[in-house]
Amino acid sequence: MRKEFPALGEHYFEKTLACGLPVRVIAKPGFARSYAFLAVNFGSIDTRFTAGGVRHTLPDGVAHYLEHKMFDLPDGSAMDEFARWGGSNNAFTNYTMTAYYVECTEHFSENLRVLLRMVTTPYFTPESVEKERGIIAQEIRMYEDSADSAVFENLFRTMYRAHPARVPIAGTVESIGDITDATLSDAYGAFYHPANMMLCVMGDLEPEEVFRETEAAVPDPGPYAAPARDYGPPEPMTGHEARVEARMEVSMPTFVLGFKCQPDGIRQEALGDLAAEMLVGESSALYRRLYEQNKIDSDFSAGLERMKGMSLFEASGDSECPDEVADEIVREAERLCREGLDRTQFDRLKKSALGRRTRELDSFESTCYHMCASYFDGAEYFDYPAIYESLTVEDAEQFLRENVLEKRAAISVILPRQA
Amino acid sequence: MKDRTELLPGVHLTAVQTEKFKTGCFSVNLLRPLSRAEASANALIPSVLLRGSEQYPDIQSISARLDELYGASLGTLVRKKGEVQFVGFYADYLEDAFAGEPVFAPMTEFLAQILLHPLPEDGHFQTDAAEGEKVNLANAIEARLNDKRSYAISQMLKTMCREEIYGVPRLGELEDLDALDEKNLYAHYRRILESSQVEIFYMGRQTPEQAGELFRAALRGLPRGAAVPVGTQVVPRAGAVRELTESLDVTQGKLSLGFRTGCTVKDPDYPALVVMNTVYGGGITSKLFRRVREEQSLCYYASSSVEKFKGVMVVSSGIEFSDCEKAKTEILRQLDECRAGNITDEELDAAKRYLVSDLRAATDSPGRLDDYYMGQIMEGLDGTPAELAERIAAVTKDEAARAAARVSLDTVYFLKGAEA
Repeated sequence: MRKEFPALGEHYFEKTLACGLPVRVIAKPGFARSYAFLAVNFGSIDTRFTAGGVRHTLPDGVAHYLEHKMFDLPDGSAMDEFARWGGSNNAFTNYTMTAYYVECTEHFSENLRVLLRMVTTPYFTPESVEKERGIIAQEIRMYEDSADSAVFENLFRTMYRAHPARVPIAGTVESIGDITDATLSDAYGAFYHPANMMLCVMGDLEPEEVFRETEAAVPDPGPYAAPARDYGPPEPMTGHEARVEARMEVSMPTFVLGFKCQPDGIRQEALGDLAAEMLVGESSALYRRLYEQNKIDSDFSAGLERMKGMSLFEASGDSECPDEVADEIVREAERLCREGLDRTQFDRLKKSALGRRTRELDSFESTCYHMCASYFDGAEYFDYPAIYESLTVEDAEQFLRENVLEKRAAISVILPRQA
Repeated sequence: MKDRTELLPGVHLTAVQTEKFKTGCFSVNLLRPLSRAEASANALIPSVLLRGSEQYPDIQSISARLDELYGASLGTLVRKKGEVQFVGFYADYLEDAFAGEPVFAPMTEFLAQILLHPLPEDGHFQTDAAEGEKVNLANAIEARLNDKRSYAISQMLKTMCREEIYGVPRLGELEDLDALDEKNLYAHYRRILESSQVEIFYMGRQTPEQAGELFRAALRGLPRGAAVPVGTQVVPRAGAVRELTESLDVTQGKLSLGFRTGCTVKDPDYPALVVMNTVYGGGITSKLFRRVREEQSLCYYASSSVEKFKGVMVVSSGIEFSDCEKAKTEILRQLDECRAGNITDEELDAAKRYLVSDLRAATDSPGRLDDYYMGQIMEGLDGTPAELAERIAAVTKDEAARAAARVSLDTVYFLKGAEA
């Protein structure tokens, strides 16, 4: 079925296959590259769930471990197959999604078939699972040396009491020690069903052919009983603790300031991002003041982050005085709510945000990712112009009034080792 | 598909017309010979210019103007290609067709406003802007430390090329910032405006003629004198191997090896070198990935890359501290395999397919085309990515082995953990 989005000059073709897999094809005439993105609605936070009446608690890091092992096929490695067809492939796991993708300029059908076969063929042996442990442990150590990931992980651990975002995506060297081929099979069985995935394809392609190829390559495992996921009890709206500090090999302090928000739908993301622009975006008075005083630099950014069961407004960057920046942000929100937000500025920022979102549609990676993430969220990605249209300056003011408050805040700071 | 014309004396436009994108883009590059004396000043100037102009006197009014232009962006640009430093700006913006009003033409005027009309204070830059951006640049230079993977590579290259111009980092050295102030920086700015070859890259819906007219009009106030020549000195072979070990408080070791390839983009054997590098350490079909990572689990990553202007190959890997010698031996052994021609047909074909596909895909990426053509222009070369792909497809196993034989180890750098 063809769906039109005239406000964007975009359309796609959609079909849900008999096995339950939703497939979308976004035709891009004139492009040399083709891109296939297969997302599974299963991320690092999905370790506690009930399936078939049985309660499961899997070791932290299982989604990421499983991603690594999906490349194994009974007849070898999927990577060899991609290499044979000139496909450039990779995969990632984040808090809520595992995704596998391939891009190529030739042999798209062959590469698509490898991608589909790989993700629909679980093949785990005790030996191969054991062998991967060293590689994943090295990857975890690499993240542990990265201040950019540590500063967010520390914030989540500080801010949340029970939500599984408290745990790093890849788990820890200790937690992955408990992962076996049986663990991976449990996770696979619960979440890797075509009805719990989405395939999104972009390129100069024929949609009917993509549907046909996919139908032929994906086996139908029968109806899907979605597991009940458990993210812990609802979080209180205050931070768990207000501040966390660590020392690492970095050249200057880096920070994330978070404000806990009530978990909400996709509209909250656009609203939170616009409110952030009003408060401390590049064309705001506060940004200019902080920048001119060298309290922040051009890496500073602010916006809304959300996933199942949590939502937070965050501002992050490098600063010699993160606590002063945090204070200034809270006080500026108070001032704006007291004096009222500027309507002209709001309209200009809306125009700017819309223009930037539309430009992002040039990126296959970003479009497919957002398409799948929105779908798992029960929303249509290409509807964003209507969402922006519906947002008012009063909405932004209310957002700041409710959320950018000291009692909602927590800050994570990484300081340089020597001091 | 691309078109290069001279708009003003020493100012050239390379334009690629396409209807594929919703985003149009351009970059304006001043070409400077890389040198310790001016690298940090060059790196600083675009940032200071982006602090305020006659028409848009501060960062808030600059950002507000970009918001009005549908969230367009104008960013500072400092690139190092071989021993040449490119400084200037790049712009991305929504194509006129999607905005429903002109955005490209106002962006060329905006660029000219920022590049040519800084807010002057008595013939120098604003003191606050210059001093503030010095702090930001100092932080950016020090931030090299934050990403240990690139830090290890840059420390290795600094050691390897310590007696060559190439050893000067892209953003210059921290110590050289102290001597800069709003006055000498402004004088240097006026000098580079006048004495640099200027290259503009454009990709978007306008014809090269339309784009050229707008750039010509916008930049008509650019002072023009004789352009300083730019180029790169190549060291064809390594002497005695240099080794350096550093300690930092990290949990993963980084091993970085520097080689001389004796072969640059101008060399007839360049396609063979590129193929060899891919067989050896480029991507998941490579020997480093397959043998060192997958089969022996010696590291989390191990890859190689070539710098095509200076003739340098870099191997970068992340390992356990205790595996340093083992990993180094294995990395060098795999290169010996390439030299000996022990390359399977699958390895050769996979590498060539990967490279050809990658070059085709480059035509979908404005950023990569910009980078590619700027490099070609700097070296006085004319070939397109498609022509390079053809030459790569024709490379034989023997040619790849011969390219490997020209590669010689120069420097070994190891970043290990702090002593307990």
